[in-house]
Amino acid sequence: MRKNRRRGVLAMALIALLLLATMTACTGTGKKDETGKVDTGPNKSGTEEIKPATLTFLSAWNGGGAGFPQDQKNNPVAQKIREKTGVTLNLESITTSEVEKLNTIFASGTVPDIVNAPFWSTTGGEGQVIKKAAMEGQLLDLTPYLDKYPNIKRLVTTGIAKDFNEFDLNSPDFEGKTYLIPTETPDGTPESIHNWNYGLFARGDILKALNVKAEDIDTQEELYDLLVKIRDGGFKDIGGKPVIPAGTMWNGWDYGQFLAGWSDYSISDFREVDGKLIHWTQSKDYEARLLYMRKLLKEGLFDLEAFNNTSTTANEKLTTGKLAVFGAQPMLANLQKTLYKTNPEMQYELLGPMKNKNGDIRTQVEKPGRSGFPVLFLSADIKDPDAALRYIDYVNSEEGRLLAYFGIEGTHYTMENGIPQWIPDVKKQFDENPDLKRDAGLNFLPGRFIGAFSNEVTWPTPEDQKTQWQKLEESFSAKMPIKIIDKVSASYLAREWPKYQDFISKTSSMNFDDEFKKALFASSDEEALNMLHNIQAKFKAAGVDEMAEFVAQKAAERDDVGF
Amino acid sequence: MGARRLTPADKLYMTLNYSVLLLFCATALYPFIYFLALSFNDGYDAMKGGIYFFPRVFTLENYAKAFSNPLILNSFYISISRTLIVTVGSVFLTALLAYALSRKGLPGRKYIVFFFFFTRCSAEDFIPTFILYRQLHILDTFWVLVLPSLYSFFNAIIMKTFFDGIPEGLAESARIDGASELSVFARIILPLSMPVLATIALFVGVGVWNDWFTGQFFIQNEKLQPAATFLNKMISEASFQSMTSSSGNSGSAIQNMTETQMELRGVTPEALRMTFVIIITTPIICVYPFLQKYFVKGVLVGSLKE
Amino acid sequence: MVPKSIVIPGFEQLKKNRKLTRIWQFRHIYLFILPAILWFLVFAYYPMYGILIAFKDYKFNLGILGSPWAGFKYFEQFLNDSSFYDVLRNTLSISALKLIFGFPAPLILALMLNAVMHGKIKRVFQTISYLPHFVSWVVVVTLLQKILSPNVGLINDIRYQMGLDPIFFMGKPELFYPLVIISDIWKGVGWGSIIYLAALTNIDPHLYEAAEIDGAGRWSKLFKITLPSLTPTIGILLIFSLSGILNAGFDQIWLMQSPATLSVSEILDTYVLKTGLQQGQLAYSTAIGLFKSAISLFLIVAVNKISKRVSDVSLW
Repeated sequence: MRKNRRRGVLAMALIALLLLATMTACTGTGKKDETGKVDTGPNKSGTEEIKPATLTFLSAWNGGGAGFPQDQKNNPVAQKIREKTGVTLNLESITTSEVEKLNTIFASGTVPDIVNAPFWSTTGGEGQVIKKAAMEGQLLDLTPYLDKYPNIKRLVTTGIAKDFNEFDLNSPDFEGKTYLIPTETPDGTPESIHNWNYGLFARGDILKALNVKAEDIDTQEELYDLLVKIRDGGFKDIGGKPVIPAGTMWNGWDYGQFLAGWSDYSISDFREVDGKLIHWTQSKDYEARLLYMRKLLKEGLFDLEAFNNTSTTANEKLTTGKLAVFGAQPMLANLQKTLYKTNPEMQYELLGPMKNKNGDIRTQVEKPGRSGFPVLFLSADIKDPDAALRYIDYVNSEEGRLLAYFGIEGTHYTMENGIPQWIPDVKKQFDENPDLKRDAGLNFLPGRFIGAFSNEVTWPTPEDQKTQWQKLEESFSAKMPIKIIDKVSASYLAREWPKYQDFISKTSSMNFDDEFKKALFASSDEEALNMLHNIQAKFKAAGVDEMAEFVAQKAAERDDVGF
Repeated sequence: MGARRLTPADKLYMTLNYSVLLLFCATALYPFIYFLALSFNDGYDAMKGGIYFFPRVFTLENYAKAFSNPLILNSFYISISRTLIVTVGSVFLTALLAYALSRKGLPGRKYIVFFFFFTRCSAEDFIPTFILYRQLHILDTFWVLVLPSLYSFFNAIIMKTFFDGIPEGLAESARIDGASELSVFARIILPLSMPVLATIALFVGVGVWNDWFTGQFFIQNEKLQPAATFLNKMISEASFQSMTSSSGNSGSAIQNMTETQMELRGVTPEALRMTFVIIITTPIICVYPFLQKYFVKGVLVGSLKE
Repeated sequence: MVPKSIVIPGFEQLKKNRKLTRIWQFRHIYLFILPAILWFLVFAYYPMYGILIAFKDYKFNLGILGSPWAGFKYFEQFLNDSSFYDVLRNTLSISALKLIFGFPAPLILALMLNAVMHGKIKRVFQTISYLPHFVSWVVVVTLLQKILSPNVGLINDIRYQMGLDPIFFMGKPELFYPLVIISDIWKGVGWGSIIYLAALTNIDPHLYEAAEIDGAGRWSKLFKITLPSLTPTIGILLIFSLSGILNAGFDQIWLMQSPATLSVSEILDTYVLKTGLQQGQLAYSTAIGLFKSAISLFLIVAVNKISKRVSDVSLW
């Protein structure tokens, strides 16, 4: 779940999109066009000499520099890689908006050799900028190199959701060329898809005091009753102040967990209702959701401040046990160090799992493969593409991966039964001072260079070595197994609708979720429903019904479309 | 001139005055006491709330973390040089400009002022600015920290307003005696304008000291980044880490950490932010008292009455 | 006055000479101005070409110049947007309130500080008073939330002790504006008073002495000497404040907004940011930016004219 940290000059920064073309089209300040570039393709000489090369790498993630080792050139991992590939990287990152940085580098023609950036879709945000850059010849076409670097080829074809692949990663606008290398993708096995364990979590001691079993609560009514009992039960947080029966983390994430009864397994913007296809905004369920949440808020069952929570206030509420029930992920990283140490009896248990509309459990829905991930791309102006590709290919080899995750065999880890194990002393050092691990070069490759891989699947932790927290997470996952839907999302079909662009511009200033939240605080139920119908009508006026019809038609022409 | 006896009305007024000021200052000061307490408190413990005046779990970890990167002292060095150079340069240049604009009878003055004023009205877009700096070759150099901060229309007008208030007589007589404009400027106008010069120096200095934006967007070289940028970066990175480990956004981040690494050390981004506020503000607070001595009545003002 | 019927030969030449002579007289002054002109041309005028985007129907492959002219399409779109009037109303309301209550505050503080007799105490008060300026809005709003929180806040805590129900302050639309104004004043008043304090030192003490002798009381002195002397400063600052009327304080509002108060708390800048992410919205948001600039330009010129008439204080 991406947290929206964009502020300030975002809109103005998008000017780069335009100025990029300005540079190309008229002023000619240094922007070369595609035909003039020399692209020699893969090196054809017999035995390749590994020439040493130094390349620039940009991790276009806000705060992504946190994982960079202090000594970029001579940490153990970097040294080993240089030995094997001859390549040294100069690392750089940002502490500002990712979109802004991307716009800047493309607009000014200062694209680093290798860049890793978010790529969630091509219709907005970073993905849109990257796509534009690719179409305008700013990115290196990797197609001729794929056969030479088998690991890279594997990354480009594994662990990616079919529809995302068809429509975004290999967008028709790319004309069959490959520009992007996915990273942080699963390895193609269902087990490698990460279960985030979203759900409702309730304080164990409160449940016990009320004589309620967590798994018994799985409908909205039961949830409501439970919250009422909690409110009237006089429970306290660790500071002795009254608890809030229900709440969320920052910005109201994720209040949706409290409305599981009106969810279903969907992978697109459309829903099948009474044999007809409708746009999600038109669903009648929203009335029920609205009234339910309003009831919770009005009756003092839900944190009034939830939508205003900053991460600070959210963390405070979390670690003091102030929320009797919260909806989010298990938040173990925070809790294990704080609340669970001081008050282990307060350990949160998973409620339910909650049942959805169809009586199935509400759980994570995934396609077999990730839709949207970090991607690597190379600058079209890169002097030595082979060096860059060599680096990426090596890191994604078996040997490279061990190096990236565990370091040097014998120094940092040993192999036991084919599974790498930290050398105890080393682990201890790393535990006491995480910066040592970072400075050994072990913190930045996995997230930004490695794909089509899951370390949990390839190097499973032996049962006896699992920490109690890992086991706890696993217990949650066992209760909420991921529902895999191997279909193409109907949302992609909407892009083919002739009025799609029009629709986008009409609805760009409409935010359904914002209106919904506003309605939650309206002074009366009537007014709230009015607000809801209002926004629904606006979407309707923008043409969602026609769009849904179009999509339904298109979907009927294929047999692999899912909603 | 003897001292006037204070009437009861005076006394009441004074009491009221002091009370309001006291109240206001208490509210203005308290947050800093709060930040100070938080900056010396263990971050995770702070999350439990309840800290108001004193740290509960004392620690120097936050400061240690803030200063852990050896480059931070370097960043202060950069900030200090930048602030000194820009303050002196800007105050001087702006004063020259303001003086020029305040000269009565200057042909075309209206148009000139309008020329400067007009730029204030359009929003400065980021990308054209970035491209400009690139074309000037000041990107990733010390100069990008200096050149764009040299002039401000607002400051110029404030100064001009003050200069307008200086009686013509003094300057006029000096000119008649043959003094050059520069001479008049330096020997007469400047000494009489200490308060406004000090004010503008303060504005410019503080503005430049707190500016993290320039260093963040226009400088890549870590050794050239000023303190504000550097500290901001650290908070950002700490937030990134805590977000990815607690919300599991970046799956690899969890997969990649050892168990105890998932428990961040006692330094939370919030604690770091508090520490940052203290670190970046303390120097300014210490500087101001030195400037205060200029906020005294212009020495020669009275002498013109003859 | 020379009657028009008499033409003095060489008169025009004389006039021109006089103008040129004056320019030559002021040559040093122009030299003082020159670096500024250069600087502004480079750093302020040159980057302005970005505004072209607001008038173009930008198509990626055609570039800015090649893209079809869109004229005022985006401005129209903005004006026709159903939320526009609400957003504009909110923006103006907040700015107006800030002007009415927030503008005099630094002046009042400066006067109060000036009345403090002991130099040392005055300095201490002054230094403390501008500390809030250095605290970023993120921190201020967090603090505010902590105090006013319906769950853990100080005020509601007290209410709880008294047996009263908690109030969700930050969620009440009717309280939003007061909270915004008060926090804005709190944060800016100390820093804003610095200019006035500097201006106050410029006032000739003899004026006060003379007034004393004439038997003038405290308030008399204030209204007859102090305030009139400060008029130029007040005037200039007022003009600047007015030019920023469509701003209303983005950072602060963005942080203080909540779904419950959006009907009154959505301002131009926050609205633009929210709608700014999609294609084409770039031109839209640049158009809004331009719209704001145009309004502020108009305002400054108008206010400047009025100010000149009324009080002889003006920018040019």
